Amino acid sequence: MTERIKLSRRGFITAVVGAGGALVMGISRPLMAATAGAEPWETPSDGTAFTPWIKIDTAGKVTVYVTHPDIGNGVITQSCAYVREELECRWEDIRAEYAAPERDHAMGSAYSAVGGALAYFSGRSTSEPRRTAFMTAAAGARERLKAAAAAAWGVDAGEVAVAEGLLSHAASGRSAPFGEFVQAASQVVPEAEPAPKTREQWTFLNKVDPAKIQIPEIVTGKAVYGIDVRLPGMVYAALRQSPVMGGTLVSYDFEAIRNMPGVRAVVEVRPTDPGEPDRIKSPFPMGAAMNGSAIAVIADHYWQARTALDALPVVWDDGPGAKWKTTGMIEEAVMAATRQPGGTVELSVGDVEAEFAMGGTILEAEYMTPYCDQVQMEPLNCTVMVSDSAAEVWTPSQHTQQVFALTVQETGLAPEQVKVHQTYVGGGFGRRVFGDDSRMAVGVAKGYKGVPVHVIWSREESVRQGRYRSIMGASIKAKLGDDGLPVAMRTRISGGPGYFTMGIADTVLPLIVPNVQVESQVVSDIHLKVGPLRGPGYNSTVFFYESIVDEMARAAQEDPLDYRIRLYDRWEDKGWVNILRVLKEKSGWGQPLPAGHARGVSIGNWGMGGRAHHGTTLGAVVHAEVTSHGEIRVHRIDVAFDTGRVMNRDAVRVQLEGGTIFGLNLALNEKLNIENGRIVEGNYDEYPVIRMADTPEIHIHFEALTDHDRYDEIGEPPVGPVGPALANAVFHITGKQMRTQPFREHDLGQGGGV
Amino acid sequence: MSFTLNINGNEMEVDAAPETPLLWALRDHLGLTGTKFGCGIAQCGACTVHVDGVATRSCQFPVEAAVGSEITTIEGLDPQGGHVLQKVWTEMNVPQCGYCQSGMVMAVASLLKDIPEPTDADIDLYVDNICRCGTYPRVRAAIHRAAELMKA
Amino acid sequence: MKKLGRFLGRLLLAAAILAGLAIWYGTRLPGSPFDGLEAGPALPVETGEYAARVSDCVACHSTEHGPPFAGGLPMGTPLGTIHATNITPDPDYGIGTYTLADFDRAVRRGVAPDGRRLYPAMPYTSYAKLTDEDVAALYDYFMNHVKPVAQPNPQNDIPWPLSIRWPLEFWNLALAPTGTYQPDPAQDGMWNRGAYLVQAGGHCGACHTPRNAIMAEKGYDETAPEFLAGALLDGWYAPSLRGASGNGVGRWTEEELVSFLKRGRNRHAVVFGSMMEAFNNSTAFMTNEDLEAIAHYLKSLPRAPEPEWQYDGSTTAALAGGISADSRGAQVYLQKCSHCHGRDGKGRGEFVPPLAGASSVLAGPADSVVNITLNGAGRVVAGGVPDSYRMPPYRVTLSDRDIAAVATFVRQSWGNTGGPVTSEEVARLRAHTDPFSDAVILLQMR
Ligand code: FES
Ligand code: FES
Repeated sequence: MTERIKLSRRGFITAVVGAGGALVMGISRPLMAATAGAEPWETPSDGTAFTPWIKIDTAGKVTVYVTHPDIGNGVITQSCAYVREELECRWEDIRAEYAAPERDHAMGSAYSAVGGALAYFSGRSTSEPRRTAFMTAAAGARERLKAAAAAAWGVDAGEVAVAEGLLSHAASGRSAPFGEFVQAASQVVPEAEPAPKTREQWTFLNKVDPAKIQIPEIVTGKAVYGIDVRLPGMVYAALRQSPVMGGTLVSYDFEAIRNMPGVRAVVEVRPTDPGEPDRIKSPFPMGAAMNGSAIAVIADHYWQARTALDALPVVWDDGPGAKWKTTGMIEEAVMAATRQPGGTVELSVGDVEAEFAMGGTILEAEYMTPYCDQVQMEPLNCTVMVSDSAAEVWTPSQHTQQVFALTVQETGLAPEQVKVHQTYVGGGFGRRVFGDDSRMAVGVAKGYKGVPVHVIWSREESVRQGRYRSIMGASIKAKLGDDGLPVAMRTRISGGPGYFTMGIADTVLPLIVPNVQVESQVVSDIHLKVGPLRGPGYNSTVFFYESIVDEMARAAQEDPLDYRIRLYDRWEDKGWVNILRVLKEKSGWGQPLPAGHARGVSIGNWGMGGRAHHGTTLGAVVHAEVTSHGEIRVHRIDVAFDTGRVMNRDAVRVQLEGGTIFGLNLALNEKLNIENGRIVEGNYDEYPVIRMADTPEIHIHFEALTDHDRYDEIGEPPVGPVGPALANAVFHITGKQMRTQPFREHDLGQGGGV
Repeated sequence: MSFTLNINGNEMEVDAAPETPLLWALRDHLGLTGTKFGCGIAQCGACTVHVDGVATRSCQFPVEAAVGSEITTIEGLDPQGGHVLQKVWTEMNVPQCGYCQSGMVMAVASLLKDIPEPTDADIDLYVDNICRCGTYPRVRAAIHRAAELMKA
Repeated sequence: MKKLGRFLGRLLLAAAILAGLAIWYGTRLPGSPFDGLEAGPALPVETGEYAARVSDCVACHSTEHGPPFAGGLPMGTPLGTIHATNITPDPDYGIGTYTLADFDRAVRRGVAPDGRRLYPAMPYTSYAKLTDEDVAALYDYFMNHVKPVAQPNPQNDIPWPLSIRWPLEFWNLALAPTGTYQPDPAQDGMWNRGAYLVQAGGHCGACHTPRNAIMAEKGYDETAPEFLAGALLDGWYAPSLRGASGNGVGRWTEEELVSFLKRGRNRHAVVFGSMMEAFNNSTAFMTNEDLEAIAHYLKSLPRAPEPEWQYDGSTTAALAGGISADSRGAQVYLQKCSHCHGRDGKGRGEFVPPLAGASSVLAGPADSVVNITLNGAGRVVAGGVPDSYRMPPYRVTLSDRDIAAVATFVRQSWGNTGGPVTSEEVARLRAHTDPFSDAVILLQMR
């Protein structure tokens, strides 16, 4: 006996009153709906699901099931575009809904069988398996509709045309909208599934660059992010974890806040032994999503919870992490490790030590990049309802499957009893991949069962309990041959536990030096947790390598751009040299600039993994100024890139602009400090972020695309080269080589403060 | 304590402590979740609303001080999405994750009211919101486009 | 109190000049009315606890993470670091062996039982005015209600010969009041209670009274024209508390003063800097009656000559558009400050203080304005509840020049009459100050 009641003003949430009187919440309408300009569909009529990827209802409205959380990169729109290409429906009739992980589970991995774990955002929407899945499903639906129409009209299916959601037969003059035939189409059994169109046949993809379909919702305030989830009976929780990661809760005094307005309870969360889930496969090791020790105050409203949490006396045992008294101590430990031989050998070719022993032009330099946080705009949050027989999660995750797995594990419920709803995501940059934020919310909700608990991390909590880009240090020693190009290079890197070595041994530079040794070490007793941050590993290693390349060019007394053309010409993928040539032409390289201004250049590849013609190669020229007060101003950045081909030019341009700004901020501004094991910075006042006034002109050049069939990732690539290109420019102005980030900490002038 | 606020042209009751930030009164008490929480210390602008026509960061605005003022949130800018900024934002594909954008749009709406044809310097000054996704070049272009459309 | 540490350099230097004089004088024990007396019967905990709150012992003798009153708080001075001592009743490291008379000599005369002179970072020059009754209450509290903690006192690192303490006695002899507070029969009981709290336990003059060349306060009661007339100490300007002036605190009513001391805020201001520490640990715990007495007394002080402040709305209009491109101060204000303090400079009700007409902004020295801009504020805790409107630090996001520009702008807008600020002044404060934490720091006494 269920009764559906519309409870929400906007109508997207319904409550089902179960037989036992328990209130079971469901979302009958997707959180995200609406195509450009259209009102969200109020009542979805029954339709036909053509494979788990598409549903078409009797009104001809098409639902696309999207497997990747859209973190601002446009994957929802891209998924819809694939369907639009094959289905020939009207763009306005498409809406998207996230594919639910519980559905994946129930349907035997229907979604995650394609191209890997479900909903891993960095599996990018343009990857071939996803594209093929969507396009095959849409083509299949189209052909079934045509067959159904042909049968009804008594004509040959080959003569039925389809355009803009309309089936038509020219000879007889008959036509009908999709809706009319969806039922019949579902009965059609084709002899073979049609193949998706080839690129030459596309009429929509690559031709039309649709803007993100969710924008109308965003600009009217209707878009529902995780933090906007509102459910009947919902309570709010404010959360604090041990200020020193790895510390534990000793005691707290609930009596001190019991009578504060709205306060309902205090819930303690203890770390769960991560283990591994036994019933479902998790995309990441469960340890990555492990909780710290935490305390949460639950109240009627968030501000009440947060104020009470601030007033709550809590005693922590800091644990071993407190031994790191200062940032400097950690920096020294990391750099000391890079000065030692004996790390893991990541790459060894020829004999570097023999080369060094023979003398010649030898360069040595040490570089470092600090701990950084993603500081995505939407603070971490998650809403969870746990009962004895069910759990339901609403989350702005970057990885719904991970959330599903950890909810099953953390609650001990069966997978069939768990539901996960993906919401809009207010930025991710890697922070929301591991699911520790969701796990914490499940932990809190377990302590306050029966109603939805909306857990919000304050900004300070988000920043101080991050999964950081690890500190990384590098000591590089290189020897130049008579032609000024490197003949030997030894790189030793180090960082905190879990730091990413991506790009240290498998990018071009170590692959084109005849004698090369790359070693890595870990300073294993640093307690800070790390995770991916837009271009993990790469966003440090490009800085290291491209800085030493600048120093090499200088030693060879050559223009840094020309030197790079000569150097990277050794690599078989000519995309690199091509990009440098495009930049040289487009950026005004070599043209005179006012005093105190200069240009710098840099190049890198995200995702190549040691292989030619893989990943996205990207080069940047930065035009910067150092003022008489020693302040760095960036006036213009030119970007050229090679990701093979692009699917939606405008979407690519937007991502490249954003990534360029992100990379600039990492290099210029970002650093977390440590004091007695705690992270010092908590908010944007102490962790500066580029704003409108600091944003340079950005020119994106598409001329270096090689038309290679890659469609590779585009969000991360700019994050690497912008920093070293800027350092290069600053060197030409000041004669100072900035070997550590952030650059704002370097003294570049006569006073003037920061 | 109970306060009567004038929000988007409607009288609304909020039962909250007087120091409760307007942001949370809007979001939690009134369900107007278009106004976003980003920092809570007036640094990011995600929570921007209009108070008597002036762009105001609601996270550092006690509900008590909002009594007697006209408050406009993103939901009240034009619920049909017909405001010129809403159209231009859509056409020019401005938002990325979109989280900062309702605050961005509110800051711009207030700027264009005071300075109908803003220079780049005006934009730098009055649209000091944080967008971690880096939509600034788009926002700037969209402001100029909107100013043109409004003039026409 | 740690704010007082800085002046010790000069003080000790001055004291050292007197070093040739009789050491015996400087190490002898002054008499105490409690000499030879036993402490009386134990008092209820509240009595001594209240006296300790009024005197704000906890602020200096405890650290954020340490046990109450175990000392250890370092106070940086140009000559080295001194530490507040362990005043728990531990017999080895604390004051467990002190007699009531020993305790009295330490509190009211600045003399330890062995004759060593305490540094006047301990405000015995004010505590000298405490009544015998309050001294006995304090002694009772520390001996009977504070947990003994066997925590050794860290070594001070003031180098010889400046570490010699006896010359301080000559400073005491010349400058330190020695008598307990004497009620003024011409005034009513409320006034006298207020005067006693301000001058004795509250030691308001330690920050608010200007000091002479050898760092002694220029007066310890209302008879001195410079008593509580506003002073600069360690990066903060403590404004004039002299009652009826038409400016700054002078425009506050008695009710507003009480609200400031009880709730940390009123429509003119919110506590910050050193006053926030005094508020969080002391005045917030005082009874309304006592706070009313303090306000009553302060308002009775004769006015200091200051120009009247009048609100001027032209700044507000300029901020809505039409800021000239070279007005860096206005630009920074618009981007960083206006979102809380408003384009009209009037703040937001009682929760975000106005800058228009604020005493800290109108003051001669700009130190408070610069300091709070660099370092922000800590959390104001009223009634056990931390507030939600904390000034963030701008030391990372604004340069010295930007802070100088915006401080100048604020001091000269909306009718404010402060002088300009230079980037050198900002650089100096930047080098000598630290940002406040956004953590809630409440020192517990038990
Ligand atoms: S949330 Fe209000 S400015 Fe950031
Ligand atoms: S669009 Fe993501 S923060 Fe601005």
